[in-house]
Amino acid sequence: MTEPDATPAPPPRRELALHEWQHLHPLSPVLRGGLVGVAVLGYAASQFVDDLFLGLGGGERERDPDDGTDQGLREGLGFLFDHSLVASAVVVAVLGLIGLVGWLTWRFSKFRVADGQIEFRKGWLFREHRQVPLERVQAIEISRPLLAQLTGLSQVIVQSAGGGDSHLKLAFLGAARADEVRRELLVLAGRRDEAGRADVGRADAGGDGVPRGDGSAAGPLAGGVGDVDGGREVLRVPNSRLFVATILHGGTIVLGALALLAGTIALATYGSSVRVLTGVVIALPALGPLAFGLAVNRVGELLKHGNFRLADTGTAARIQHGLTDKRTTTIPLHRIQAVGMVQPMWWRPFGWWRVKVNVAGIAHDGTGSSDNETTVLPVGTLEQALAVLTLLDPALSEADLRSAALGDGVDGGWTLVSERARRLDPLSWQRSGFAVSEHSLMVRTGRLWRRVSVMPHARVQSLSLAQGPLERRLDLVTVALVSTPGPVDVSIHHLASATATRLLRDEASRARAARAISRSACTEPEVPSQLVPPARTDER
Amino acid sequence: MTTDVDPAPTGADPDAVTLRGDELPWRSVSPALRTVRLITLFAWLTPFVVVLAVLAVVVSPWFWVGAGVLAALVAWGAWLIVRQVSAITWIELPDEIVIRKGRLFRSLVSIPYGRLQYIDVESGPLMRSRGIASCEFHTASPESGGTLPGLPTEEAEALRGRLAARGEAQRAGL
Repeated sequence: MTEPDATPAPPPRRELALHEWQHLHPLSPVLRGGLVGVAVLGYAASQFVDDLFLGLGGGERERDPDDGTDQGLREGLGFLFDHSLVASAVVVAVLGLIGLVGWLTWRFSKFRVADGQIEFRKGWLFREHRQVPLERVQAIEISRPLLAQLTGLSQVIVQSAGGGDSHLKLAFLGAARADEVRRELLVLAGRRDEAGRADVGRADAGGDGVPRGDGSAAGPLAGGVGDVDGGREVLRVPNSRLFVATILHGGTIVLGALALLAGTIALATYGSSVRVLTGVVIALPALGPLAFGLAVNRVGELLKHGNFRLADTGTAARIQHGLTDKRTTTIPLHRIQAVGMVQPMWWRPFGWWRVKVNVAGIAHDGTGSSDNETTVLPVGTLEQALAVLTLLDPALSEADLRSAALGDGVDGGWTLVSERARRLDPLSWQRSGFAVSEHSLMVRTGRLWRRVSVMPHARVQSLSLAQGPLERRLDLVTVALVSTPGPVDVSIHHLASATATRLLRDEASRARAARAISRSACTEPEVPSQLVPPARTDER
Repeated sequence: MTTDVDPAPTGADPDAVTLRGDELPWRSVSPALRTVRLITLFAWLTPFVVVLAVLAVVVSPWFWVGAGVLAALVAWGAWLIVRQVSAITWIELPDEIVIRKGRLFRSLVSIPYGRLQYIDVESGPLMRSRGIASCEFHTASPESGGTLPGLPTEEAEALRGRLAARGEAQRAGL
């Protein structure tokens, strides 16, 4: 059961015959059952130690008669220890059964790439057969949970356009083999559109800001597609800075202020430090759950974004992150729907920003589960943020972004919200607004909590206007450009209604023009009609 | 970009899409939707009013308070439904379908045909008995929220056919 995997002597990339059924790494059932196994082992060990101590302590067993079931269990175990032959037989049988089930699971899980789709079969009693068409593949990730890291294995996660449930996990493969599989899948899935798209992106960067598929394809990038793993490292986020940035969070600051306040009040009322100490000790449990929740949240954030590295592969941004659970996310540039940067109030003294993106197929749930990485820069200086943004979308100009990040007023082609919005938004009514370039629409809001969102015209899904009763009285309207689900929200609150109507009309026609161009650029639709949901059959 | 599949009604001026104005030939939904929603409301709440009234007679006159409040609630709901249904209007423009809703909280959503992923036509038994159906337009974003409730069934089906054809002709990648 521990036969060596194909990891030694990796074959040349092109000969990685993925069209035949492949097995996962033989250790994968063990790893998948890892947590359960550890729990069971831990329980057994504790029982064993307990019994050992009880045995040493002699008559102590009679001291604890109130728990009947526990007693029964102990007697059962005691019986087993008394009859070591029976015990070993039971243990061997259980181990054998587990081994058999694991072996069967391994035997029946296999994957291949055939007829333009990735197929994955698993299950032995309940069979499952999942297929993801290669053209639907949005991103391919490698993830290494802690247990896998210890054993040198990785899982390959294939993300597709159908949302969370349509992800396909190949868990687990040897680390080197996972890299090969990922590379091969990327080449298979990306050979057509990624290469084609790269040229569009370059033409984009080349000047007029409008994507143009003028057929001058086969640029220098076409050959670079296979080399997805290389790429130029753009930046690293030092863990020390990430640590400070993570600690600087609304919750921690409120909690710290609360603790300080409580301390001062206590000091003022009691006067003596000893009594203050007792007071704090008494008050601590009240804050406990809150502090604990916050700590879990912050540590989770730190673990997720630790060791952050961003690399540019020409057609995709490659992100490596994670302190314990090392992950690699590849975001093809042409799948990015909207980009945004945020500066929480607490980061202002440092001038730090966070950059996030909306990516088609990477659903965003508020829980921030690590399966869905949409942060391309957890914390960085404005220069870094601008560099990342222009890398993700070469058509963006750094000067525009800078004025969006820091500026206010109408300089630089900005249309501000109505002056009547002053009553609803006294701080930032002179800053909030939008600017239109040939390629995209930029929105900036917030004076204390600065936000910038950018959405290319070609990515607009739909447009919406909304007006509540207060806004109605002031004749204001909120305009939203709807993107695919993600952390970036492109909406402008409290525009004058005439401006809003005009923006709706103009943006609709700009989006139409941009779509027409991108449509003529690629002869076949990049994303097939979703009238056909991703195939997934359960043969039960 | 109009298509030769089935040109949308001409004469509509896309310049005049406004949140409240009536410059365009906005179409309203079937009045049967009002009936359906009112029936649902009454079916849910009248039993409680009746129970409270019975309790008021049998147990204590104080239950009249509850019955009165509930009756007022029903009346308010009915008024709301009447107002809201009449506020739903929609229009097919050459390149997008626009739906407006709400009175106090007014909203407008404009969905380009090229962005339509699929269209659901649904109708429950009550809606079917009144011959109406609701049309839901799905783009790649679940937040688009384009629903057009209460179209006559055959009109909903025709609309779906038209829009699907136009969507196919104007489809754009993500």
